[in-house]
Amino acid sequence: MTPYRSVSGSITLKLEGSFSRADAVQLSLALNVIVRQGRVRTRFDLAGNVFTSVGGRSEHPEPGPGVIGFAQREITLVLPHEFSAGQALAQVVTAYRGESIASNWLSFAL
Amino acid sequence: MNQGIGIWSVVVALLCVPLHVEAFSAVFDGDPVNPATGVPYEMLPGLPLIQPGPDDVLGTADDVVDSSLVGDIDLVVRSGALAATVTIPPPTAAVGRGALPIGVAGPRGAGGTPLAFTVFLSDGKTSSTVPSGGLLAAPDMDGIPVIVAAFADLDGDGFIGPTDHRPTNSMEQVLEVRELDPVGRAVALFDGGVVRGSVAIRTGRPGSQGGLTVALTALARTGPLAAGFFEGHIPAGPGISTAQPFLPQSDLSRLIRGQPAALALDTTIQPVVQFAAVPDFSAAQPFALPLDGSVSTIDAAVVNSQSVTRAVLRSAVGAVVKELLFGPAAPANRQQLVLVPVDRWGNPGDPPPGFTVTLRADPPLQAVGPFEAGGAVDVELDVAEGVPVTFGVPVHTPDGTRGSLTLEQAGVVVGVLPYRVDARANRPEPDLSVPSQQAPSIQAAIDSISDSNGDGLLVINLEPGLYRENVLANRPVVLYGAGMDSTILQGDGSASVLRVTASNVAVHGLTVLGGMDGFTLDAPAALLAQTRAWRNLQAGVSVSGSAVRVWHAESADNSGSGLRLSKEANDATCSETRLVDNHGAGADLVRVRGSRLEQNFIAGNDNRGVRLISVNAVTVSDNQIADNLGSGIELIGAQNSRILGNLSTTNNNGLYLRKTTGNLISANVLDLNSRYGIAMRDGSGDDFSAAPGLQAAPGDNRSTNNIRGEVFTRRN
Repeated sequence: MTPYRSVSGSITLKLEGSFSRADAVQLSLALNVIVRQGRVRTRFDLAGNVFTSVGGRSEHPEPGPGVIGFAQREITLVLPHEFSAGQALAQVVTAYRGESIASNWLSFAL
Repeated sequence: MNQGIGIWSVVVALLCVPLHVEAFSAVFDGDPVNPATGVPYEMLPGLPLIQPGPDDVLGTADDVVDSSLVGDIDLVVRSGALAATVTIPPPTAAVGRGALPIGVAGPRGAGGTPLAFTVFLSDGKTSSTVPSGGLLAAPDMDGIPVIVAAFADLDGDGFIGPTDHRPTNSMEQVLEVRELDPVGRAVALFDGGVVRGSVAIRTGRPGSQGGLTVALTALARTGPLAAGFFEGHIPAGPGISTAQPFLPQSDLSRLIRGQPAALALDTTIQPVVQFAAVPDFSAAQPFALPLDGSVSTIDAAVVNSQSVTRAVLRSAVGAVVKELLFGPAAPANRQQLVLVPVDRWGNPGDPPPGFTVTLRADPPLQAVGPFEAGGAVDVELDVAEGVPVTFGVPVHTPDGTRGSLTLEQAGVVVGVLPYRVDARANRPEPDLSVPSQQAPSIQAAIDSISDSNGDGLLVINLEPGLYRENVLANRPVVLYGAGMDSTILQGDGSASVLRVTASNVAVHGLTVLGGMDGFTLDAPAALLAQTRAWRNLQAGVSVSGSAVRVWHAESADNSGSGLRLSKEANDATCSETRLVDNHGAGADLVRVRGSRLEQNFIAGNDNRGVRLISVNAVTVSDNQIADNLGSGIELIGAQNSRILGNLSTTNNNGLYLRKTTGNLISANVLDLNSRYGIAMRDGSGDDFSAAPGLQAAPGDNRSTNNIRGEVFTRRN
């Protein structure tokens, strides 16, 4: 999990893990990345959609760009402006054969 | 990261040596049968019977070709969802490229449009008017899985796979080798002799370039599911296939990866097939698949890329560059790359108007061309082909200098590439180049080279391209390829692609594939730097010489281990190397002393990440070891070795020790493994902390989130 900050302050996050890009394509997996910081929870899908909820309330769409890259063992996404310096958590979730599959929560500093 | 996803290594073997079964599918009616076994031969349509030679391995130089028998048509694939008809329709590709169905790269639900396909079982009764035969609704095939694989025409020559249409050693031939790697795969089930489904494609091209043409092929096994045959998951009869762009590997044990599981509509296939080596270049030609509809068993389609989301830096042959490595001396202090606009899946795309990428390099790295030198450079990308950019560091930049290159677009970081300067990346003046009049082959260069420039080295420059030869380095030469994506050596499977028997041989910047082993290093002090061993029949790198160094290399998809050290391979070092997706262990060290594995990435291997058997004073430190079947690190009978600072995650056991003694195991992270973080038995005197005194597990190691428990001990 590696965050990068642009000159303007936008945060890009690179996740490295054992997910398979080939499997995700073949099975059209509904893969989502969830990033949490405090009361903010944002969900990113592979189509570039971004949804944020605050304090457990319902999700609302964000403008994106969300996930900008999905390579072998690597996902790159851009966090919405609600995220700032400090600790955050991330998790990859999907469903396979009707069962939800989730990675561990990874803790990292923005 | 995700254990659930990591274990979907469902694997398939097709066209493999079959078990004897009592009755064979109706698809074999009238086909030739092996008189020794009573089993129908497996043959690709239109090609002669090819059987293993004395080495008993198909796809090697001693294969036996029997031209008196030619494969008939059993299986046919068509683009689109078609109705079952008495006569199998001709390929859509025969109508012309404009008639081909168009898909979009990526999975459904994420901007992609998979390609629909229909597979027919053929009765093989062909004629000039019925080139694919009639539909065979064989009930014995109902429910049998078929795999559809898609291959991309990366060089745009209208063929999939190597051809002899152009001179040898061209860059196009490098792309033709890459074409043998499928860009999509799917499983579907027979019903009444017909299979319908869709295949999502990973790779596309922008519509402005006409998209990317892909070939659709299909293969299946016949016969019933037998409990004694791969646990009843794979049909036990002979295989059938459409035309394929390679001679499929036949050795079942080389194809079954991990735990076999039932083929179903939603199972993954890793790998789809491994192609076998071919005896010589002319023999490769029959396997090249034309995309014009002239091969009646296959079909074609077009795949476009999605909208551009970012930009990446690529090499001249299109490989994504993730790290920049420079030498402090010219010419290694510069690299020319291409800045390419790509979609979410990494495919080149048409950039929107004004798509500008800012390149921001930490000094002393600079973009030196075609732009003015400076800190940040704005590059407008207005075509999908991208823009060439040369990066460089000043001559004499200190060894070890590090920094990063950041790519920003619209105020967002879209890529970061670490760079560093390392004297090992320097490139001395060559004495000889290949191909040339004096040296048409690499072996000819090794045999004839002299130190013409008097620098004390025998340096051979290998131009980009494909070299089909088994090479013996029996003189202390230095081989410099144009990079692991640009200079490729393909062996004939009968021996190592590159065998080193002289001391102090160095090999830089090339890929070896299709050999028995990829590299065999039998002599002391050999160096592999920035090399790749890919899809060899045994180990990627096999070492028996002492003080060998493997640095910044890759060993992937080999049927044996990624790296194997044995016999006299003492005091070897393997560092900053990727050992991934091998059928054996990532690294296999047997009875060696003093060798070191440092800062490697070892993942996706089928038989442990690192295996240390009866080693002494070996160091395994700072490696990332993930997603391997078996233990991440396994020590059997190891003594006085040091296992330090490794991350071992999503393996079976994070660390497994048996009959070990006197080892230091400290500061490792063992997380999310499916069995124990640390499991050990029958050992004594191992120390699990760097602190003074002998400490028991876990000591200063961090063992967390392991499914069965953090530490398991028996008889220690």
